[in-house]
Amino acid sequence: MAFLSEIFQLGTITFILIGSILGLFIGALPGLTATMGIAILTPLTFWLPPEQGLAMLISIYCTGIFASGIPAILINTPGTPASMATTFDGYPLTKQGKAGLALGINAIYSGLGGIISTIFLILLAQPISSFALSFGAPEYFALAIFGLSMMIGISGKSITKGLLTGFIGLFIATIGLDPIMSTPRFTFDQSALYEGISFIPIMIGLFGVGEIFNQVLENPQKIEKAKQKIGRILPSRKEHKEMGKPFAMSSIVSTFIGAIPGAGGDIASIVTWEQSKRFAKGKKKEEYNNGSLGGLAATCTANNGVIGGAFTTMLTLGLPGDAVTAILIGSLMMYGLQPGPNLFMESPDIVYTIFGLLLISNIVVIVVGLFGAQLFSRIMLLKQEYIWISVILFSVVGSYALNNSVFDVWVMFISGLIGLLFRRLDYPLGPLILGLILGPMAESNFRRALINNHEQPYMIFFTTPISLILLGLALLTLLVPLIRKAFNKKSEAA
Amino acid sequence: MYKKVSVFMLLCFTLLLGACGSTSSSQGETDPDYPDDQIEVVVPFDSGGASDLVSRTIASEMEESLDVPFTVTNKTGGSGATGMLATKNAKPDGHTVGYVPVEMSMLESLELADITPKDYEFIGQLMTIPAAITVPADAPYDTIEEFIDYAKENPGEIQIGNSGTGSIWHIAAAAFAQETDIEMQYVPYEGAAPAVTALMGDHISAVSVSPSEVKGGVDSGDLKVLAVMGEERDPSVPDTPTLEEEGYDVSVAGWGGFVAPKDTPENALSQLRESFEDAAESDEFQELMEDRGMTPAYKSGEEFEQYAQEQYDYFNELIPTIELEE
Amino acid sequence: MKKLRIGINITIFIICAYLFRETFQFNNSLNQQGVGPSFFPRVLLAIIMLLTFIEIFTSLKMRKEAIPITSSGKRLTLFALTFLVFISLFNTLPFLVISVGFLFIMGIILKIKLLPSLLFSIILSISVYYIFTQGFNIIL
Repeated sequence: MAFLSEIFQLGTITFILIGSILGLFIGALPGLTATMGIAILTPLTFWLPPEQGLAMLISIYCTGIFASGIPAILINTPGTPASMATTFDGYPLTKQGKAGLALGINAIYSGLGGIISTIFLILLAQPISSFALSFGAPEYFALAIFGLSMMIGISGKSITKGLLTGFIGLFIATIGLDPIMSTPRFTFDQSALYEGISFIPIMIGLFGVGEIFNQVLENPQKIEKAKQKIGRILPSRKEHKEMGKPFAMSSIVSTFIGAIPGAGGDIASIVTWEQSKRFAKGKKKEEYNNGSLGGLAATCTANNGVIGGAFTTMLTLGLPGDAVTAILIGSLMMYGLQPGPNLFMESPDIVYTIFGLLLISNIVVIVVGLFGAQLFSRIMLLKQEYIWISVILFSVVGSYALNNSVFDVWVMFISGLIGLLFRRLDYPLGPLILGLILGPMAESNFRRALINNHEQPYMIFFTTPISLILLGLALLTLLVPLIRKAFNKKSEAA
Repeated sequence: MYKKVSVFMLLCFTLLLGACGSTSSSQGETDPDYPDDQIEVVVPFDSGGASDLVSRTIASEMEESLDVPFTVTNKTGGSGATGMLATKNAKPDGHTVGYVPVEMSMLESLELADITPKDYEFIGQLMTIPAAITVPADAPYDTIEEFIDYAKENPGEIQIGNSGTGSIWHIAAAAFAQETDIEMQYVPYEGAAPAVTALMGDHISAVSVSPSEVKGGVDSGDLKVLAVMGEERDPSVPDTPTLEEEGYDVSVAGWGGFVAPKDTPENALSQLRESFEDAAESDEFQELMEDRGMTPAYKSGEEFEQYAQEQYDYFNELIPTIELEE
Repeated sequence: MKKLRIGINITIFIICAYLFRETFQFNNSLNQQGVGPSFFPRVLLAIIMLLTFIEIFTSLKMRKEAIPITSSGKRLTLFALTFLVFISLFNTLPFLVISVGFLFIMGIILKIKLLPSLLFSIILSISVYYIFTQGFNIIL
């Protein structure tokens, strides 16, 4: 139990708090990702003892992911890709004058999601990690297809419109060097295009700038009144009950998604949002995309829930579950610790310290989130013109900061114009982002699977159980709404 | 009214900007005060990776000896092309330096970017990272000899993972296959980590990445390294022979060092080189190399230039033959 | 609205057709098992073209809607243009100068009073500059 006293030292607690404050900034500013914050601070932590250095990095990670939900809720701009789905229900709640409640839910359920997934990590590390290893190319492809089948669910009113933007997103993801042969595609000999079009500037443009343009055009004096109400922050008992099921489902699903290398919070939050929508009934179902508490809770839980999963893969296999854990592996190695199965045997203390730090950081998320909610939501009391200008500046600097590239700033601007156009014409933006995220995963693993199995190429997707199940689920996700629609039409006619 | 005001403001403003722009005139050829401003280090890979970490450590050491702030800028894209082009095209005043990986000598023959060693002034080399052949611990071969025999008996059956088509590890595997006359199936991944993950999950039969990248799996007993492709044995797997020891004349390794744009003034270069050498030999850097399983291999600017040129010639010869072979 | 929607879909269709032709330029010389680099883009472009077709068709059937009056259309145009000039000058001139200047102009376009607009643009620019250069080591 020596690790407990190590964690509760003043020094460690101080670094958790410093990390949380940094994480809050990094997460809330679009363009700065948790990965970047941790990468920049990692060299600084080498001068600290392991438990303090890790305390700072882990709390940046947990708070950063949570904090990216704040701008998603308040100004419809996700701070990091993981909070893309938080905009679906979070921003409508702000428009309804319930910004406080949305922020409260974000704090509570992000923290709880992180805690539950850490408990999973503590209890089930070995089985989860062998699940993650069983993912080969066909399984990844099936996972991507399952994720893409959510397109229909987030399409809104018209399925063709949703599919159109979704496929445009998939197409944009093919620009650049192709993932298997490194052949340049649609690059027109511009080396800036070789790595493809960065995803974060597109996200900032479509959501942030597009929204601002739209508001400048509409000049919404009407919403303003509602917006200025912050409302209460803590959900009522009844509301907690409504969010219970989505929360339970989301914390389990996101832990497993987090454990799969390469699949992170962005995928998890969309998948869980769609799943909780599917299980919602009657009136509650109609609230999705329009300020549903269940949907919000599911996405908030999911983006912090992947952290436990990512750590599972990192600690048990020594493999990165996502970009952040890739950097953390590096810093563990700098402390002379080699993550992998031996870590549990050789230095169990550090493993328990990490468990403890994850739990405490997520508790800090809840505390900071709830106490800060009043403060954050003050932003909404500012005159909207000031918010617009601030978002514009942060969009420019944020998309530049990502890669120090002016090209990315242009991508952001053009995406802003497209975002405006699509908003005016009622084309949904969610599917586009989904296509961008999952397109590369689908294509490279499809082709890799064919290289791996040249004897019976296409059968491979149906002969492994995980890929068969995922493809089956994808088919269901696609068919059920169509069948239901046909059914409803019939009963209406009768 | 507002419109008029704004148009007027815009005009004033542009004029003001124009004035500002012209005052910062170009600098002379030699600058006795060098360094008088912050120095930017362009790293062509993402923050958090090995190259980034190496550059940041060196930058913080050089910061102390040259007494100006060093800022690390990550410009990623196109297998490092974007960042290296940024260094190539930067103002040659000694205030921009860049990290260059082995790809500098490869990009031209891969037809990806117009970059050759002739485009830079060399400050010094930092380290090398050899390629290695790694297989699962329970594979039916224990030595590289047995591996080659197996591959000859089952042509095309061995699926060897790498960190992307045209990456140094892909070239290493292909050079190995060419030398030993075997046939393998190359499976590209988005970097070394996913390739190692696939190997640990038994989805492929070998990887050709560096020993440091498979260290976790080797320590846990899941993987074994059959041979390293460096000129000397690798300290992280000291019992594993090199291919040259086994009688095959192939050595492919990744490397990294610092360069400055062509025509950087000589007095700036000499200061950079001196400070760089101290940084490369500092305890902090040596420790970092050891912890990350990389081999420190300091080379002076001149030696580095020569080596980079040799590598450039080697890849120019090798890469076209690989493409034809497939 | 209807015209705009049809126009956009036609534009997307034309772009896709052009890009589809572009896929035949791809280097397929490295023949490996499975599908080549042009397979996915072609499938995707074909589906997009099909979808724009459906969209154009359904728009034609749509009844004409009254276009919502966009009194602030002019304001948006000015706002977006300022933004455009801001980005074109970004990274060529000192960040603080262009940032303060353009945020101020945007404030004027949005009819914020002169003094608050000036103060706001100065405070915001300086704090953003400080956060990014000092905190995150990014050269602006």
